[in-house]
Amino acid sequence: MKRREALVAMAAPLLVGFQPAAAQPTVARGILAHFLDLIIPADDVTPSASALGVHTELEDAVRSHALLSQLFDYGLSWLDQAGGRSFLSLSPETQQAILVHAAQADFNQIPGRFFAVARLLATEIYFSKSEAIAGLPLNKAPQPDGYLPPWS
Amino acid sequence: MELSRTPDVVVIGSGAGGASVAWGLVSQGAEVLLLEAGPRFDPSVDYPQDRPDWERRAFPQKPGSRTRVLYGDLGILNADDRDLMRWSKVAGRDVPVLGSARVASGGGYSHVMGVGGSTLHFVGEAHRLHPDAFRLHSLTDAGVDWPMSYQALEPYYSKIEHAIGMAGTDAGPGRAQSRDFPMPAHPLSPGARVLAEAGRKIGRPWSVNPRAVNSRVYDERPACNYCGQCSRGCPLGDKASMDVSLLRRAMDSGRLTIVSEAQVTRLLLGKQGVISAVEVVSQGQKHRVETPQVVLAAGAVNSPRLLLASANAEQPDGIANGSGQVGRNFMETLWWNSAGLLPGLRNSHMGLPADATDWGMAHPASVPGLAGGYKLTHTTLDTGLNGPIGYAARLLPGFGAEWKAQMRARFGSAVSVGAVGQVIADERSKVSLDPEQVDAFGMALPRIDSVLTDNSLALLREMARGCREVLSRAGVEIAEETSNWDAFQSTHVFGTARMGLDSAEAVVDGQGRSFDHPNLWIADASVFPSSGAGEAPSLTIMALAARTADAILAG
Ligand SMILES: Cc1cc2nc3c(=O)[nH]c(=O)nc-3n(C[C@H](O)[C@H](O)[C@H](O)COP(=O)(O)OP(=O)(O)OC[C@H]3O[C@@H](n4cnc5c(N)ncnc54)[C@H](O)[C@@H]3O)c2cc1C
Ligand code: SF4
Repeated sequence: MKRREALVAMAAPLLVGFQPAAAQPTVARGILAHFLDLIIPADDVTPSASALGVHTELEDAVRSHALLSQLFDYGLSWLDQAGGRSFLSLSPETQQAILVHAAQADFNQIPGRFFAVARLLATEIYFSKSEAIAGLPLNKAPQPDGYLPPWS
Repeated sequence: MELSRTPDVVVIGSGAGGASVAWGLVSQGAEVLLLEAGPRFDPSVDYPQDRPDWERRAFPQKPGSRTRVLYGDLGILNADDRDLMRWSKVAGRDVPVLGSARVASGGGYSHVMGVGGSTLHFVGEAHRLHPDAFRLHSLTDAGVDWPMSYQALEPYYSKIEHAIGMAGTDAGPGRAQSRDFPMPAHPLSPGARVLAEAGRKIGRPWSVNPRAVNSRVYDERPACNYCGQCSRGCPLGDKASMDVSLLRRAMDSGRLTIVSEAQVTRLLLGKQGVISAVEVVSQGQKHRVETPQVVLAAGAVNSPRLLLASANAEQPDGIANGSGQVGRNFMETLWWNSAGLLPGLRNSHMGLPADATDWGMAHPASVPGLAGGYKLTHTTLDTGLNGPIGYAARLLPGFGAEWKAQMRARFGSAVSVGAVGQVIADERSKVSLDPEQVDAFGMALPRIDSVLTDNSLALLREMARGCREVLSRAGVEIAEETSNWDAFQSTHVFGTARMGLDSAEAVVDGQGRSFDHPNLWIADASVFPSSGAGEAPSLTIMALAARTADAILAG
């Protein structure tokens, strides 16, 4: 099974028959880049997720599959409502608290599954860019140089 | 046109078995036509190791490089066995509905269709079976014995080891060698050193794992540069996948013709039980290739599929199936993997994958009260803990600035141990034809039923214990455990056209010749009567196939 098929398989069982009343997909889409930057922020060594275009690639990947797309619609809607008002208008501390909640939430509920899938996809796209591996003892790619000994 | 000539032998499939039998035949003067259903791989295009997104790319991706396989009964997940459930610090426990069916995941039957077969994907562990593995039934009362001894196969092991190029110290306890390996061992990677030290402390020694990977220039191929990517296809050609080793050598003889993207769809029966021709589809055209001898080496799923799909009025149960054993006795890979982080360890993503092993239990009667044994291997690199995506997805949960700092601080400290164990063939486990679904050529799709028995489950528990013991002695904080308990995912498959002494119980004799058809031979993993106690199978497949080549030429 390829990675994306695995993600779809993660999304599928939860979404069959799931119809939250309050899903507002189009409103929620705008917060994706910000949400991903909370997962992968910039620091002294490497750029943020959005600076490497992770949100655009992730959106493309998600949009190409109905079930994933649905998971993201519901997940982002939940995110935008979880603090009582729009996610982007919340204080950084509240946004952080919502992410902590999602990260620890039951995988069999929308917030938990959405966070896990978004994080998995985002880190996968992010670390496939050479700018993202600065600070790690890695070549840009395993070949052509390999890793000749000594290794310690 | 290659398909209009009548060669001395037609070989079907170019993996470990097909390549070895073809090489054995052409080196002794025979003209061979090798028909391979999959495509040719071009390392510069088809292997991803020189691209920044290498870690995202699954292997193989080339169109036509996988057979579509269906799955039937894979067993039921019982609550009593939930201790065997996969988990990770990142994903938690994705608790399956207990009492639900086990499903196939991660590709299910993991294989490659292509020139070189599944050896394009293989890591290159190259093991001799323990001499006692040939006497499974005599020693344990389970399964069956092989129709040959270790001693009978030893000259072929040695011949193949020198042809493909082996690096290591020795073949392992009890596995007497008539010749040393041609190359010195590879240096042990940082993760392997940790396990060797921990193993010494608990009295379970680790040693260099015999590897079909060049540690120096050999066979006109370069030395490994330790990119750590063997199971994504080796771009340097130092790993002895069949395309760069035995098939290249065989091509040099001028007597081997390989036709890729040529799927054999039927074996055609002539007079007196002889296979007169094979039917093959190449470039959209159906051809009939006449041949005096046929070697079937399509792997333990596709070989029985072809035999069953060749049923005719005279042989309604399929070709070579007088015993009723074609497709039966299917054995999957029993496997467990524990992985975690060792504070302070650096660069465990560097080195040769699967470079060290603990042979201690790799004997069919090693676990009291159970049939079958297992082998432990250092698996940090070959299970994908050699890139940041692997760490983020499996070992290091969290997000934000603190998590990024953790990724940098802890990358290179993963250590992973895998156990591969013996499966005893069971009545319910088999490859059969789907009654409805067919492929693009109208051939019925293969369907796998594979059930874990009580013996397998108990052995799996022992394997988990073995992995955890060495990791915890090393001080590794275990962060992920996976196994084939809750998902069928199998790199080694065996048994579906087994060899034996008795035509009522086996499909082929000890030389690989069909009991029913004098000019039909089988030379792949389907002939294994038992799986061995965790040893990787390819070297034994190649040795058996080289022996079959000699038998064909002997008449
Ligand atoms: C990820 C991975 C890692 C592995 N690591 C190791 C390892 O380290 N050491 C080891 O010993 N083993 C390893 N293995 C297992 C090893 O690769 C296989 O056991 C071995 O290649 C099986 O050899 P075979 O000849 O039976 O079949 P294969 O190598 O699978 O070859 C069968 C060939 O037949 C072709 N074929 C099928 N049907 C037809 C048809 N109808 N007409 C024409 N051609 C057909 C297929 O396309 C294929 O090329 C690994 C496997 C995988 C997937
Ligand atoms: S580690 Fe060595 S054998 Fe494996 S793919 Fe890299 S160069 Fe080839």
